[in-house]
Amino acid sequence: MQKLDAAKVTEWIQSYVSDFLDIPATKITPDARFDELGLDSADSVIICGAFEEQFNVEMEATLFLRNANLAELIADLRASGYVA
Amino acid sequence: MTSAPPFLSIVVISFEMARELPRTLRSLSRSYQLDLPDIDYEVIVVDNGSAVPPVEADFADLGLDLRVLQCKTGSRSPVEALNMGLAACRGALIGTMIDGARMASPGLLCAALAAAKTHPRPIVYTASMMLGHRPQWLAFETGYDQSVEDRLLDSIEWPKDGYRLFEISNGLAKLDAPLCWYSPGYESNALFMPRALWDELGGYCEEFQIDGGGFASADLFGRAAALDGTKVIVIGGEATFHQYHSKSASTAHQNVEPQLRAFAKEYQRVRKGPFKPARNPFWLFQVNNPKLTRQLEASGRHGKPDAVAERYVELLKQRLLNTAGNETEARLRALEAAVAKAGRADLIETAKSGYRRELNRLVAEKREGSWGERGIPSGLTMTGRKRLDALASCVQRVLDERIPGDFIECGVWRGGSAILMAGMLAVREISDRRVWLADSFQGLPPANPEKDGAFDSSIVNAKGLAVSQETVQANFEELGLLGENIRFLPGWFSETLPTAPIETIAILRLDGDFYDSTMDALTSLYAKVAPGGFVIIDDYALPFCRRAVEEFRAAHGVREPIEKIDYTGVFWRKAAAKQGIQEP
Repeated sequence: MQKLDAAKVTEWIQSYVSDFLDIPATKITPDARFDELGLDSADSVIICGAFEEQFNVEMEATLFLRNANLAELIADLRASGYVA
Repeated sequence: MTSAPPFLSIVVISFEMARELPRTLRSLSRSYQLDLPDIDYEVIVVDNGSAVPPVEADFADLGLDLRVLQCKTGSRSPVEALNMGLAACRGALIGTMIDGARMASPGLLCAALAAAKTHPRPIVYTASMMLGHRPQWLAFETGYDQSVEDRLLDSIEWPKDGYRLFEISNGLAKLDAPLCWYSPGYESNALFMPRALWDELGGYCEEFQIDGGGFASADLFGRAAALDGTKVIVIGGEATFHQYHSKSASTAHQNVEPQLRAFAKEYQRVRKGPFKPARNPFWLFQVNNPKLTRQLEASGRHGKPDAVAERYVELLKQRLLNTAGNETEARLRALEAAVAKAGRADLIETAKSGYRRELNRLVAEKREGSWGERGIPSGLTMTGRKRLDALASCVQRVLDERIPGDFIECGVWRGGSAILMAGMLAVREISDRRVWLADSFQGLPPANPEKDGAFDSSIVNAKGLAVSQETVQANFEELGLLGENIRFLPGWFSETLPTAPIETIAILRLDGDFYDSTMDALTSLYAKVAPGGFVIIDDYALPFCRRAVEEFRAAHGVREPIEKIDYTGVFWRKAAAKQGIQEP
């Protein structure tokens, strides 16, 4: 499987979460906590589904729950082999 | 049918809803809907491929202007069926019910018509609730099914007063549920818009093909709210109520998360971006309904207990088991054992080595229950945590499902199990159920060696099985539970139970050890147990008690399965009359 580009993944998540929560993308910094931005557990599952569709991968549903912010999420994806 | 087109059209989608659709259509009929203005309205049922589709004649008694259409695309998504229904509508105002298993509250149509007049481009909807006191997707753990639901509907005499649906729905059983009308909506099972808006939207998007339509309904709602100049108007105080059915997206799975993820995947595929709930300010069209206000108050009292009530019951269990006293109790026991063994009071130091062992035993006894063989425990029950939990669960189900009747314990010892039942009633402020305590209040009768073998728990009466009524009353009093509804039946079961002034029993708990005690109680009381009520046997591990239960069940054709609580506690739930006891 070809690994995803970290910058593209970051950009997509920022754009998606910004649109989803109606907040400026600039607020979704690498260390901004997802829960403090306003994501709840159901939202996390929805974003996970959208992520799978967007990048044509299968993820664990806990992906957005077990990582507190964008930086941790990218590190997790990298450790799991999804992101280069 | 009138020659002029009706003003209002309602599209109802059905799929394998032979049980549910008649109720839904009745809830839309003129005899059920209140204060309907003098307008004509039509109902269009679109069946989405049921094996035996409904036909108009099935509903002739409802007096509806009704058409039943068949959608034969083979899709498990209702979107094509919805669009087929929309195309057939003749009304200026069109409402859709994407799930034909949802019954309406009685003011819905009147309110929808009035609310739609308040804005030129209105999107009118109301909240969706579920019948049953817990969400239906938890049915796999609560045991909720069609028979429970039918009983709940019977308990409110539906369709007599449709607002009573709120009493038996999980919407208002939760105290924060009225908020559902005050937070921004994102979809609805009852959505009303002028025909022009439906046309502008092009109906439901047919790319949503997941079973049940996935996010199709939310997609439509979001697109409507995003149209220029539209106004979302929620009808407060009305709702639709979901009936449990096996083909439902709300009940078919115990695993909500994969479904939600699949919905999100499809939405991303279709819309290439996040689902956005309506964010513009919305209007609330509040129906002032004194009946509903009373139901709200009643639901607050009788519904699912809030967190405080749950914590109270938890504390009560701990008190009954005296878990806070474990250490003291263990030390005392160890001391007693040591002193007895040595016959000397100067050997108290020995107790120290026994302390850990006694503590371990005690903790295990309070989990698993105790026979009192190794010293009488200090708590108010010997049943142990598992059996208390099971009892609480039975009480909870009886209250949730409105199974009628009193609670009775036969063989009460210090009163613990009865206290738990009384506490669960008290914390919900339920005063119309009584808790009966049947006991000799002087210990067990002499054993009957023919029936009970060598076992004779009456010999431990002296060790503490005999507890006086005054002591039990004092235990209730200590916990503030000695109310008008606590009733004592002092005396031997064979004398007190046949004439006990109890009409109906929801919980029959037997803890009398012996064959005769068990048989006497079953013989006198089982016929009074309501369908849906529970029979709990504490001493099933004792062979003679078990024999009494088995003989009684065999003699009376009781076939409901016995469920195990722990090594000695069992229960069964009485089924409807035809499967339960056969009348002599």
